[in-house]
Amino acid sequence: MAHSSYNTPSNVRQKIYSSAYKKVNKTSYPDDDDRRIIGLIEPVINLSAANDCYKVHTLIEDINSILSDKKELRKEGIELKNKSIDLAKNFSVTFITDSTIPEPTMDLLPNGLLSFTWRKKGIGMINLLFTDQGYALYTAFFPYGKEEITIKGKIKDFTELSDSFISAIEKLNLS
Amino acid sequence: MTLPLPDIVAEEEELARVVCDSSKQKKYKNKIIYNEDDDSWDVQVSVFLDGREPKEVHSVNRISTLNLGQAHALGIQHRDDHQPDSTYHGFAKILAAICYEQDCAVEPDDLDGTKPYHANITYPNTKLEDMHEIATKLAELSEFERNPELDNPSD
Repeated sequence: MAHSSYNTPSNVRQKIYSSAYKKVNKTSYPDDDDRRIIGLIEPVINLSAANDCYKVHTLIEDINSILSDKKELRKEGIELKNKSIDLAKNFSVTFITDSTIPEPTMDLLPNGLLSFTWRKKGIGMINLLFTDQGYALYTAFFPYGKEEITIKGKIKDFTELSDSFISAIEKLNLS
Repeated sequence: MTLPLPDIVAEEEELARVVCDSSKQKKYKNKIIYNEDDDSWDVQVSVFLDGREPKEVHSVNRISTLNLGQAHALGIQHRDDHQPDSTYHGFAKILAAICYEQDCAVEPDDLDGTKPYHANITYPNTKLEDMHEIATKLAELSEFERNPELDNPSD
């Protein structure tokens, strides 16, 4: 099991379900079958494996381009954090290639750390920040429900991601 | 004549965080993301994380008393002062109340009278976890106002 110092309680998960669902139907909460029908928890299945490979390849190419721009970035005052970039690359390989999660947007921070973001308009966003200490920090933020919901934590082992992170991405139903 | 702004930043005041990035187009440098579906823009989390010291302090302009053109003029001035080789994309607009909800301080700082609209959002601490969380929230809850002089993204 992946390490997470912030386990997401089940009641918070229910809130996330409910918050997302309210965007679709404000009258009642769905059971699991209903959630699947409206696509809130069903993972997105890509039909073309070849397409997956192409996408991941592009992402890794983009990450590599950061490394090749190291000198140029230094002139702009950005000192790349190599461990962060490597971690992002590992994440891409171990997670994105083997899953149905779509390609994130990349964001190089002024402090040289790299982050990935997934957004779903009207529902919320997840940001995954790769640190220089061998773990990633995630913040999943759902501001559009009746009450704001934030879940956050650390992911150390990308081969077995924390349940909370995976379920948060599923809630976003990113497709 | 410009009337002085109050010494306290009110909750309902709008704050503008200037968004500039390198003129060289690189995917990882994009600070704004265009949504074709609804012709809108999102700002990246890094817009609300500063590279300069002190890292917890983030410059903004108080724009509630200004029209859109005047607000953009302040953004262009900021670009010229700090990132002259970059492209001015616009600004991320955020209510002061949202900053206060994250336990941030919002304090006027007119930089010895040279910038009467300038203020600082100061994050409550410099722990990476906390700054990351606040920056994520501010990015999601802000509204991007694009520099009208830039090309239409759908062209």
